[in-house]
Amino acid sequence: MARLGTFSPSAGVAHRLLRLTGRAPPPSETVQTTHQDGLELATAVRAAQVGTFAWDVDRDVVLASEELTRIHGMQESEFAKTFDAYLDLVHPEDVAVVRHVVVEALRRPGPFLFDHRIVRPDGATRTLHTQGDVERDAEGRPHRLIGSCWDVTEPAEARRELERSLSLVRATLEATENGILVVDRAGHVVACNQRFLDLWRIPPAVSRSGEDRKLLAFVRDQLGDPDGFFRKVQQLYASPDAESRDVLHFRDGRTFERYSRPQRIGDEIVGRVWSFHDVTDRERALTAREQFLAIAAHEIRGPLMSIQIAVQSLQEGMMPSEVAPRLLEVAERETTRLGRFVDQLLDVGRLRAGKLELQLDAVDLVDVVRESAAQMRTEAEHSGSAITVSAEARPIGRWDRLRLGQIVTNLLSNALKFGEGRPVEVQIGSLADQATLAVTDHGIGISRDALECIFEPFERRVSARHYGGLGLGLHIVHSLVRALGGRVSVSSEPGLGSTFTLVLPLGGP
Amino acid sequence: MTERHRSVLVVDDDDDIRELLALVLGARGYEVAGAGDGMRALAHLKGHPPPDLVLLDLMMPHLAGDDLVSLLREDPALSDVPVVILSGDGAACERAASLPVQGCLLKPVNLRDLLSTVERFADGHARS
Repeated sequence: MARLGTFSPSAGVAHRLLRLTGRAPPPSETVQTTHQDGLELATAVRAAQVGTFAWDVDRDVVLASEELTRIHGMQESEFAKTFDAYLDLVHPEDVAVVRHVVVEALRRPGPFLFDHRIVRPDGATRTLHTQGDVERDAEGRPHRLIGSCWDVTEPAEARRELERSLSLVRATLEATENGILVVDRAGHVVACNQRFLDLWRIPPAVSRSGEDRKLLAFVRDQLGDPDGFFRKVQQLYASPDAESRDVLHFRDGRTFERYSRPQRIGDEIVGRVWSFHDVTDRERALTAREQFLAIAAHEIRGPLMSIQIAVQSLQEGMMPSEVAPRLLEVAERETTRLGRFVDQLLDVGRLRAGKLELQLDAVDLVDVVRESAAQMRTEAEHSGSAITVSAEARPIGRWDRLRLGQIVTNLLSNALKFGEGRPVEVQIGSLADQATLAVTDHGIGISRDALECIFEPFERRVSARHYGGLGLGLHIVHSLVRALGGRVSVSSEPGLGSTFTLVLPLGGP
Repeated sequence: MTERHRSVLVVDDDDDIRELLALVLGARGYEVAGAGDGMRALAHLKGHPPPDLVLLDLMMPHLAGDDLVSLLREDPALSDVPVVILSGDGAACERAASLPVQGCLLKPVNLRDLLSTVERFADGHARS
């Protein structure tokens, strides 16, 4: 191995280290160390398992201490003698880093430090921490790079393990559907995830404060029962070991489940973890299901009663003979109504399961609309709304006649139900290879909120106290139109009425 | 003195039920009027003598049954008209218990129960 030339006094500690490990020439007169000092320092350096090196930049000669060769798992004779040869010992993924650090160290005055990995001859990877400096000549040109390094594989592994654990905790925290907040016993926010901030709509300015008190003040106005909420929070902070699970209702209709339990380090309670789960959709679905069952029962009981009273009246022979045909008419109408109701339920089942079979044929849209309007005559008379049909074109497309009729009937039925006895207009047109159909009423209209979910199943845009119906008609329309390859949209002004517009490709689905 | 016809007002948004009750009760000698919702019922009541009984559905457009009951009870001319709830809402009779009404029938009601209820309230009211 090449030897390093005489150290200048300015080499300082590095010089001493090299010398004491037996790799530097004897001290020059200017180095103020004693033999005893050197022995002690050499012992200390070995004990500390610190390796030292020097690289003569001009001659490209590397000199390494015995400890450094040991760290590299090599014999003295095997160790790199040039900078490029040293790079061969570096882990391939870290070569660029080492090269960069050295280039920068040569370019700029001042010490450097960095970590890199090496690969020993037996294949083992170790991580080294290196600190060093560059000696320069009078003109500032670098002529020697010296430093020391030691094996930090175990601490680095421990640090990486800690980073992995933290990353795991952080990723888990951010991946959960729940909003999580951890507060210490002094009321400082220790951790929270983005979901928590999103759920409670907390802006960065408030979250940055890191104080639970400020978060609580911010969320207060969102709650349906802020006083009850605060009582519970205070109660839990006053009982550090208590666990709690409850439900929070918000002014805007949202519902959260809240779970809280103490945070412990060993046996010591150091804070409290709050977990919030948005169950608004689930609650709405439950409410919708309950409402659906109640309305379904209501929708069945009405026709059943009519049929029962009609049949019993006839059985008892108490009715004048001229009334009997009218009773039978009512009973028949109600039976049809029940049949339609059951069909509707079955259709929704089929549509949701994707099991709808279409019988495609050449169908005249104007014919279908006129037939549906004729079928709705009685319903129209009862509602007080007259249906007018106008056709600018006579589109004929490849559709399922029965299903198309169902679409039109549902739209007309909807328009009559909410039309407030005002006229209902149907307009048929065509646009390139598409047919258009618009059904307009001038009734109660639809609020902006209700418009968003009007085609969802079991969505009822009106209060169940006032209007019956399962809330399936428009969902069926939407699903059938899609099955026919078309689309349906709605525009509405509350109090002025609504227009449902269908666009159907003539070529079918 | 001729006997006055006992009158029943059926308030229900189901056209068939209104028609059917008009036929059945009419055949029993009642004078039956119908209204499709609470607003129409109010309009009818303003233009006619108070009925002897109101058969009232709960779920209706514009003005629901329970709201109509409140309005009737506030009106001195109508405050003592018997009201019987006739509803398909499974919880109707629980709700009726907290309303100032005289009875509750859950659809589907059979003919005998319907007639006996109508007789009890309408006839009782007509005699009083």
